[in-house]
Amino acid sequence: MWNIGGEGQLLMGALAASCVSLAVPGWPGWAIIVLVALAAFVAGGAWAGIAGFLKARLGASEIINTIMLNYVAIYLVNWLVRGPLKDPASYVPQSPVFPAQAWLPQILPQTRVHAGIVLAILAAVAVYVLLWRTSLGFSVIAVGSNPKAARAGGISVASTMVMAMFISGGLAGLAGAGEVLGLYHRMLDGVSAGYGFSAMAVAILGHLHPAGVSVFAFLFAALRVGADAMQRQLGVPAAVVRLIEGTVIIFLQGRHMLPALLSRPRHRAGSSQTAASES
Amino acid sequence: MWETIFSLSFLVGLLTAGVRIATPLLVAALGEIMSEKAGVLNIGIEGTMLAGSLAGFLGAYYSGNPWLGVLAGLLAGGFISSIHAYLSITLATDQVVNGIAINVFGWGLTSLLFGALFGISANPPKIQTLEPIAIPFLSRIPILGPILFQQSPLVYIALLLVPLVGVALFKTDLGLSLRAVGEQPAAADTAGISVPLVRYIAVITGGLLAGLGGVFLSVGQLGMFTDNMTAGRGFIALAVVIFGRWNPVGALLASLLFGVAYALQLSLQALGFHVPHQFLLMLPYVLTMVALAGAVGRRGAPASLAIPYRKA
Repeated sequence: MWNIGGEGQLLMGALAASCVSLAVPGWPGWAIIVLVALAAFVAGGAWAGIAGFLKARLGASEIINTIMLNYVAIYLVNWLVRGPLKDPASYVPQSPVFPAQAWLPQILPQTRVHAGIVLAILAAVAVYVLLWRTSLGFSVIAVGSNPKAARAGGISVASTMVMAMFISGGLAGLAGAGEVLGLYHRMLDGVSAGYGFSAMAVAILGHLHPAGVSVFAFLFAALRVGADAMQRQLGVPAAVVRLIEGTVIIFLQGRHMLPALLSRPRHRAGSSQTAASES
Repeated sequence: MWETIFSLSFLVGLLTAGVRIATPLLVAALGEIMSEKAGVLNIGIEGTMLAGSLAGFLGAYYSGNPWLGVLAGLLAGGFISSIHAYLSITLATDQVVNGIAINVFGWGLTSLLFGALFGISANPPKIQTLEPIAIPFLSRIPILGPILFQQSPLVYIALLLVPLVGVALFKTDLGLSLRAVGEQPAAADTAGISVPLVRYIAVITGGLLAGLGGVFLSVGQLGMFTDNMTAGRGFIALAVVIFGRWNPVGALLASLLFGVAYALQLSLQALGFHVPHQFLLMLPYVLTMVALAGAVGRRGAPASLAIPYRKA
């Protein structure tokens, strides 16, 4: 299944994190963060779950639905930070600042690196364990390879689909929570700057394995930071990152032309027997 | 306010705007129908439309002639889709991944080019859009006249494309080959049809039309280019194809439905409807989801859709 709704799920997770943080200011830090993580996971998961449910029950394209939900989420956030969630003391559309206990601590001094990175690493490990060491993970992989065989083996394809989408969206939601608790400390427009789409590229490049994904996530993050700096210092539009990401995927897909290219000299130099053995 | 909504002039205005807004969707959907009927899923329409939008704008801006812009947009669409064609047909790789790659690429390329050429300013460059042309006699018909016969020439082109694509797909030999390749490529191959060639033609034609749809936005309607101006229309076009059952007339009706919904949302904003405008903006996207849920199953989908064909 394809979840192209990372943007929207990230936003919903950030939204949930914001609402929880603002609603329980008096609680101890660790309690807030646990509650926030839960809320963000559920929010992002539910957002993706809608598309998963529509696909499992009605066969509606999850590609289109997750994308549509992205736009709905963007507009929802847009309205909320200008309306019900708006900070009355500010001119800019944003929520009030979160109480200090809800801030994720900074890890590396003099940088903006926050505890969210720990969460991310834990998530990568958790995904690995989930997919390759649990029965749910087995169901997911089975349904992905061959739904009919999976169903014959007693796996409920429909609920596996919904579950997979839910977890997928939940992780995106956690990402949103991390951004909003660790970096911005409030809710605003543009919490996700195309992270959802980059995430897809990272997942594909990383061959759908947490280890590969971690490597490429770091690489793409470096690209982004560099692009921002380029925009500030040289005036090169930061969109160059998106162009690079797209080009990378295109050329990655293009790697399949290599076998044909590499075998051609042998083929051409060969006689009719080589031609016969090739076909 | 309600008296205004139910007045004839409001409805006529609404439908006129609806037709105009539906046009890019319709053209892109017609292109995608051709591609999908041949078995190739191209979700990169969004990026292709964007490329067409920018190329069209640049063509019109630098030449002073909007029609050269239209040509440029068409060609840009064809070019971008040829990348998708190569990856999906010759290299037989995953068509969804390729489509996403094209989208990201197209967005990045257009943002970068436009930003590099014009910078980010409060006063974006503008071009002359094509003036609406009233067709004599027919535009005098009450109600239908203004809706159908007083539109931009691009709308007429789009409406003409509907029967054109229909005839091409269902009444010509090439159309038959195209549909055969989408349903049973192995059988078509045995019958002597070159599956890759037919698919290339289908995908690139789809790209030409998607590019044309993009041009309609920049040159035909807004007279300018903004970052990511297609705003998901390419994905809505995918839904139009499904909702229209992979049929040109179905696509026409489905795109009109979305167009009118979008126009309705605009008019309601103008009328001061007491709903925050963001919810009205969500309407086209929610409608797409509802439409997809209603089009239960994908009856009419070509049997070999998104399955790469490899000669055994």
